[in-house]
Amino acid sequence: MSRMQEAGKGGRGAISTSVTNALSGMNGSGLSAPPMEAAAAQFVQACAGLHNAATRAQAEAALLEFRRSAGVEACVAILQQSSDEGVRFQAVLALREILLSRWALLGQQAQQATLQFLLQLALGPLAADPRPLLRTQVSATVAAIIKRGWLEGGQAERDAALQGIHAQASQAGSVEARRVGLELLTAVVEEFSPSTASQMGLSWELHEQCRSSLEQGYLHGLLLHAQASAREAAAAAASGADGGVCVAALRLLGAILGWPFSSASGSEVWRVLDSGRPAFEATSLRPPAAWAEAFLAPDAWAWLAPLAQARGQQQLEAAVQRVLEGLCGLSGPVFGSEQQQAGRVELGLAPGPNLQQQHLHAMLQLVLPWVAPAGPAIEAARQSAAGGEERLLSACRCLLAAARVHRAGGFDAASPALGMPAGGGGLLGLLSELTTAVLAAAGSDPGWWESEASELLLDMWVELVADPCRGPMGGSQSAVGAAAAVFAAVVETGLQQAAAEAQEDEEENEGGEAMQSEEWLSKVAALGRASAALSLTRLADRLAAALAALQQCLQSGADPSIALEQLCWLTAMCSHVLADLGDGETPLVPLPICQACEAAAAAGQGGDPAEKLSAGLLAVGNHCLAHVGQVAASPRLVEVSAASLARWADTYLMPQEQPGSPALASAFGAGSPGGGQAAQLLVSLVLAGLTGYPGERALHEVVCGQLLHSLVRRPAVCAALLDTAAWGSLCDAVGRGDTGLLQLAEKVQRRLLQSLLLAAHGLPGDAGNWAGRLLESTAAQLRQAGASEASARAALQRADGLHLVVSLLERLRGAVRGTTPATQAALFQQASGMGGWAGCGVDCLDWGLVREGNCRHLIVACTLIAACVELPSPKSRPPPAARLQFTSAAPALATLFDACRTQPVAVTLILKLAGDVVESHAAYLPPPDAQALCAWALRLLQLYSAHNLGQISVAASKALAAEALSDRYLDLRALLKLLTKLTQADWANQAPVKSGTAGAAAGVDGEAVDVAQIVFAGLDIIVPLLSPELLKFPKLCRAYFALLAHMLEVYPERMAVLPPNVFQTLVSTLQFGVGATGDDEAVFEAAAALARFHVQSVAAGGPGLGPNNAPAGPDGTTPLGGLLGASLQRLIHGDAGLEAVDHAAEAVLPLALSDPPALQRSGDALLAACADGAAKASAQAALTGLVASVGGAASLDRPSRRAFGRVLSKFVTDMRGAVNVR
Amino acid sequence: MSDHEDHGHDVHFESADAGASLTYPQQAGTVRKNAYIVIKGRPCKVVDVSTSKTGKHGHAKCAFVAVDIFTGKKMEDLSPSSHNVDVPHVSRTDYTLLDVGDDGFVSLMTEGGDTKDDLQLPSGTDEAEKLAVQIKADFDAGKELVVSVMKAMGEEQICAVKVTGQA
Repeated sequence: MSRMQEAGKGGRGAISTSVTNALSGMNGSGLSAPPMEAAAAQFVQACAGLHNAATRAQAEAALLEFRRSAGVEACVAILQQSSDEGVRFQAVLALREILLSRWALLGQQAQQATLQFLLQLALGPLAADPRPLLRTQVSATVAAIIKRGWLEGGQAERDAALQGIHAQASQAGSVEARRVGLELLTAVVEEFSPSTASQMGLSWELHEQCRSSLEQGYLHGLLLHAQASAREAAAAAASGADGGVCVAALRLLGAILGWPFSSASGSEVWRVLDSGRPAFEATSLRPPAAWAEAFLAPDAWAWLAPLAQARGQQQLEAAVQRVLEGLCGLSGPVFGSEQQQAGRVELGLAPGPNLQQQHLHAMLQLVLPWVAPAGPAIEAARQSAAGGEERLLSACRCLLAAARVHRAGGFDAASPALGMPAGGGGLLGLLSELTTAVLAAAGSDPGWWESEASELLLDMWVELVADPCRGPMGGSQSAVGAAAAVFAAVVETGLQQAAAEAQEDEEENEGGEAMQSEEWLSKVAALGRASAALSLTRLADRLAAALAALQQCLQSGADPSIALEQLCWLTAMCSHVLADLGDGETPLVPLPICQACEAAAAAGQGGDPAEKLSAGLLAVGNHCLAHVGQVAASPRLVEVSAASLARWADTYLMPQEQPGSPALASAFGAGSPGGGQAAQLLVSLVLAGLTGYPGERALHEVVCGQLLHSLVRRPAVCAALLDTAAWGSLCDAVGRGDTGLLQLAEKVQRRLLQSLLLAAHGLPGDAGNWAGRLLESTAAQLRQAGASEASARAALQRADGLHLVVSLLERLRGAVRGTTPATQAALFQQASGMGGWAGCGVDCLDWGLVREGNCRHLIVACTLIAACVELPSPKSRPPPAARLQFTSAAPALATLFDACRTQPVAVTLILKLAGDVVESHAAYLPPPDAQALCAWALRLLQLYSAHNLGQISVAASKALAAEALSDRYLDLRALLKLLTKLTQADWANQAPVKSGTAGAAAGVDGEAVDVAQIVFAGLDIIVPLLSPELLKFPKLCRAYFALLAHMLEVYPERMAVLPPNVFQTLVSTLQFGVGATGDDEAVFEAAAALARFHVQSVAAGGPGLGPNNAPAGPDGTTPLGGLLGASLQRLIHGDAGLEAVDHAAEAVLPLALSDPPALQRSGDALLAACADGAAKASAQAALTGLVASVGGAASLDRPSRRAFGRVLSKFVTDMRGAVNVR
Repeated sequence: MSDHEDHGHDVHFESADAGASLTYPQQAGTVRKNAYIVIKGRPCKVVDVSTSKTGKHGHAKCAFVAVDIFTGKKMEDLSPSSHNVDVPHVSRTDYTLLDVGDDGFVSLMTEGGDTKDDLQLPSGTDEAEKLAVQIKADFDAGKELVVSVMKAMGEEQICAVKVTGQA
């Protein structure tokens, strides 16, 4: 109780009296005195229990229960009476939660009283507390209260809320109170800024309104206040005699400088399209023009100078660093627009001072001493002395932010003002030295700060020398020289790291690491390009040296790992500097490289730099070719060279566009001898990679998927290839069924044939014959294998025969994919034609594979057939042959499906295939074929249904059980996809019920089948198979409800006539979906469509859902009423986010209109959950509002729905508060 | 029986056990997830394949994690990706259930009408026992049942059951 006495002296007695008086007006929001004491005692006990692992769970449950059941005054009482910091901390947390959840229940008076209590607590007893934890929490709660009530009051209340803080802080008069006042304002700014706002259960719109209101009305004033406070305290702060006021003011400034200014406040939006750019995330501050005075007045930041150089006060340094990081990113309208400058010139006035330049100068003056000279700064960081790392990193962040705004031009121009010479010895030179030193530190001893600082500085250089919108920063020789120095340092560091990693084992990664390194190389390559004039030649020399080092290493018999890894690194780097990734586009020679080549030609220097580097890359390829399968050409080196050369060839090898320079044109252009030689080298590398490295699948994929693919992209290269010996050997190897190639993975074989056939566009006159020759042996072998049932069985029972057939089928599939319009006709005229091949595949399956039950081959054959039917492009109608072939293949597939039912993989695949067929063909199928397609789909569904319902299987282990579940999941997804695709076909929407028209098709027994019928048949299969476990697969859940939403939207009238058991199952899945957190949008859309149809149909005098919506159960709830109840339960008691509330609004209105008594019943159920009278009254008010809104909604038009959405949102917030659940 | 000979190998046999190869060799690099593989003489289903290299410039190795298709036991194997591994023939056949004997043996009928009496109800794992109980219960209830039998490397086991005539 000594604490209580102390509180009485400190004025807390007065606080408690006033707040208790105010809170006593809140009837029933808590407990009467004795139970309240008991609750408080339990609370204290629970807080003590938190520290013990054994009682922790129980204590947490007790605290949560307290938050649910206790009132504000119980928290206030604990805060007043307890002296334990942990207990008081928990009490503040509970108070915040209770306040926010019961906001509507508390009267304005109680809200204000609580706010005042907390303010006085923070400014009074807590102000001098050296431990800031509790005070910070109280400040955050004050900010949350202010924000929660911000939009409820008028302008005067808002003014009073912020001025109240200031006034009370001034009134208290102490230094501590001033500091706390600033801390409170910081908490307010952070709470109002969306990125740091806390969750309140409010809609995003309200958060946004709060942000906008504070920005427009108060933020500028807060900035001036923070600036003035910091300026005033700065002198004392340097010696630590300001009582923390300066740090608090700086933190307020930092929070304001991190404010996300809206574009409406006068600044134009400027976004880099590529969000992956390094500085995209860097601080950018774009305040409105009216703030210019505060930022740009000559002495606005002069007081920061001594603070920036102060040492030994960690908090002060961190606060200063944050402010400077914000200020360095200052840009936008505060600097005045170009039009303003032009206007001055027009009026005959002298141009205004370059404010931007002055600001950069001021900032650099503050920041540069942190990192210049580089040596001592790095040494300080390395020794972690006096926050050295933080200072260095902060300087890097400041420089990055400034680089983004000012670019190399601005930095270069700043040199004279900083007392440095313009050009190489100036600011850019200094930064180049710094970067080199940091990179060296990172290379020798990579700790956490070294790598972070080097990445920040590299990002800064990319921002300095390369503009995302306008390309390279030309003209500045000093920038080029500095960038070249930095790039050289990067290369040296990269080589050091490659050497260090050369012996590490390489584990398969998910592609993330490779992509990261790709991104990093592309980023750094921008530096090499910016300094192309110097860097290309240096890089070529470095590459030649690395190759020589490898050869020397081999001659001396030493371990070549390091030399190999360094060569790999350099090869990849060179290709990234030279060329961009095409990514489906046609890449051009990068502009800075063109400029460097032109400059070299103009200066008469010996040799074109890009040509020299290209020759270096090709030399690496030659080296690999000379040592295939040996240590000197490890799989990794061949893989990296193949990928690099593919990248290079995409841009430089016989380009269709203008080559980068005349030298490049004569070296590698179309018709040049060098181009032909390069093409021959690359295709030889392809052959060597495929045959010389068995089992190296990653290498095969790169060689086939990247290198060969890039070679066949251009007709000129293809034409040159067709004459080369290496190409002939590759085609021969494929043609005669070389056993080495047949050992390749299935995917690789498919890509191989696809690429080889694509090359046919190099010789348009002879394409058909050539393709025929290429495939002749493949088709012949396949035909031979399937010549008779006996031979097929014989072949397929043996391992080699089996493998051969699989490979041949894969090759055929690749060939079908690689067929272009030029070769298509020729291919159709081949001996057996496409249909023959498809037939051959089907026959093989029919004869042998199905009976052998080997699903792998079924997969291949099915995909082959899929490829055949996918062949015609949507632009050209499929030739009759292809259509015929579909109609002949489809029944075979259904038979196949029947035969292979024991192979889950094949079943899934056939369903997938059906989806593909519908997707690629439904768009342009004539009515008879559409009918066949529909009937086929229905037949597949029936077969699936017949084989998969009621089967119980053994899953011998958990792993296999999971497999079985995922098999079923794949099936259902494939089914859903098939059904969805069917609904998307053009003729599906015509949907006539009569037979013989476009949307209907003849079923197996001659009955008309239409799309809706198939889909409902499909849903009938899917719905019973769905289980909570399956709906945990998000894709399946989404696909199911999306399909349901579509069907209910398009064919609601069919719901009325659905058999009652199907309708009930459907509604029960909807209820399940509404109750679970899955895809809220689709679920509520489906429910909305169903209810909307019913309401609109009844309004128009129709039957609506008819007997399907008949009341059932003791209280006469209709199925739609049941859905309404489930929706409201989810919204109030479930963890529905605000977005879910928006989606739910679309469904709740028609559901409520369809069954008004159900709304009242659901509301009553919610009221019953309210604990006490006040909550009940508030809940009743919320419910009345909702019911009135439903009653007032005349129709389901957009304005009514929007108005209802707002009402529902308020209802949910109020009702959640009333039932004490947030 | 056919006397057809191809490259010196008999290709047709009365019984799969009569000396025919139960496995075939396949390059390790081409064996994928969900495929079958023989590990320590047991037919397994691959649940995970990962590749790695010894040093950055070594040759690729495949590490297989697989599950015995009959016992559910987890097995692991490591092989250079250019070497061959054994892959079992795995087949599934449906039979109509004719009778369940007290000794656990079942009587099955093939599509061709022949009977097969050499199989027992599944056992050995919890799931297998459950399936056996289910089969017995359904059979005793007079339901018409079709069982799927999985066969690999000379071993057979009932792996699934369904009641025919059910939608």
